[in-house]
Amino acid sequence: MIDRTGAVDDTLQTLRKTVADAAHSFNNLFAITLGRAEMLLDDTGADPALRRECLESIRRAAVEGRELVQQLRLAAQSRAATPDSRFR
Amino acid sequence: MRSALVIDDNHEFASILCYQLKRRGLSVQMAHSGEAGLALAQDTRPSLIFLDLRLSDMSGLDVLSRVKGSLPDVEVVIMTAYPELSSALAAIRGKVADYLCKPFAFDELDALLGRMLDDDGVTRAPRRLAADRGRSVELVAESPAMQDVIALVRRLGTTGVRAALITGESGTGKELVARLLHTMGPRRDGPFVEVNCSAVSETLFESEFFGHERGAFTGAVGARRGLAELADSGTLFLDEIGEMPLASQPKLLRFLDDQVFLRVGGERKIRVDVQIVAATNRDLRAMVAQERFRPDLYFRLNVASIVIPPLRARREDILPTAAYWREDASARYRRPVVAFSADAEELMLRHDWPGNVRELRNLVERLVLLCPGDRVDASQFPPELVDTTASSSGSLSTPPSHSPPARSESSSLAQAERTHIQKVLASVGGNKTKAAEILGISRQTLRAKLAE
Repeated sequence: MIDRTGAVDDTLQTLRKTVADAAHSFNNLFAITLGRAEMLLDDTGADPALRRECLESIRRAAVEGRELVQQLRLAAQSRAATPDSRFR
Repeated sequence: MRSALVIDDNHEFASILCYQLKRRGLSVQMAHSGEAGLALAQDTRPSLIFLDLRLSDMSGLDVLSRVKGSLPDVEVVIMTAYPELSSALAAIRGKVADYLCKPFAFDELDALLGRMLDDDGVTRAPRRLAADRGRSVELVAESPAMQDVIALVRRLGTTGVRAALITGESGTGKELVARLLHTMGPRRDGPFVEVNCSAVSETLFESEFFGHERGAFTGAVGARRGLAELADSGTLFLDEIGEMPLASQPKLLRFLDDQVFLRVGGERKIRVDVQIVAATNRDLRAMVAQERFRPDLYFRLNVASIVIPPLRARREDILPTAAYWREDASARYRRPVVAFSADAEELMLRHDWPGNVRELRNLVERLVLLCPGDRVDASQFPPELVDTTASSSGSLSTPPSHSPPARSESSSLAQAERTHIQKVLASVGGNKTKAAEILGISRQTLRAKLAE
């Protein structure tokens, strides 16, 4: 557990927020992917238009996920440029 | 048809959820912001709202409190993609019907809808799903005896026991303690499924508890999950465990030991993680001696044993409990909060409360409803409470072990309610919607009460 009484460094706070936001975004993308996959697995898969919609939605989610990873990499690099002793 | 409202600013996910809900026979509306959701909720008055915690224009928690303020009967299921707000989650506990973490598999919806909506599925479970789900777990514990109980529940909660047994006289709040154990334990985010064992017959036990596959027996038109599956990663509360048929007990014991079962007619072993909390007002040890309860099941359950003392053994709790239910009843019936005179308090302290907290609660509710002014004194108490020699009879709900239930009293409470409803109805010219609003109940409840 986090000790809320101790002083929390700004950097650490930013990092926490970044991680929480990223987890939030990824889970939303997974929710879409899972939901669409389940639709494909049940009888929806038989309808060509819906089938296409589902597959496109899964592809969009994956592309968004890839962009998120790139953003995280950039964030990590900018953090590496100003290293904090606690992260070594 | 049951209606649902989905409030989520993620358009894509909202439409997937709508699709899944529609497939399950609900009529569904969706909104992509808190404000739009609130407006739609007012217009469509859905029975169920799926609410995302993070919205672009306002917090889901604000939507929750506003929606609950104007539509107290609506069931809200909170959804979140990242449960980082642990303090906020504490705030919603008790106010929401369920809690889903994204991503979730949509078959979780079946369990959730099954718990929430009374569809007319085959062999509907006699499960009594907390009528007061909207209320958080409130236990009055001023007395050392009750504080010991709470401390024990907290200890058991942190160790995450698999099985516990709660014993106490009728009306002592065994269900509340079970809920408390659930909320304090590691399975707090899971469901709390309640079943009254006296309502499950021996023949239906297996399909009730473990579910069945399609065609397992005549009438099994579809596959159905049992209570054990519905309670997965949560708590299964077995009320009146003493009434469980002897022949069913070994099956429960086996399930307690390995948490694995087969659906009736099924071949696949299903593994779950369920905390079993059993409760009874019977003396199970005596029943074991009389060979009416299996000793092995008794010993297994009795490992974590919680005994709730009767109200008369913890008199320090009487007045605080009365005060708690007085506030509750005043809010529910929209009545001013009344004060208890010294002689009224004296009477309450002296009474033996054979029906325990439930009896006290019923009395307080009746006093709040019937009190003409802002002060309750001894003269408004039912005569059997004033007459101390009759202290062990004359309760609104008396456990069978004490005396026969005082039927005239319970009907007079119903009568009081009826009179009050009629009065309110007359004051709004017979408009049921308005009357229900004033009474703080839903139109459906009002209709049911009028039909009683």
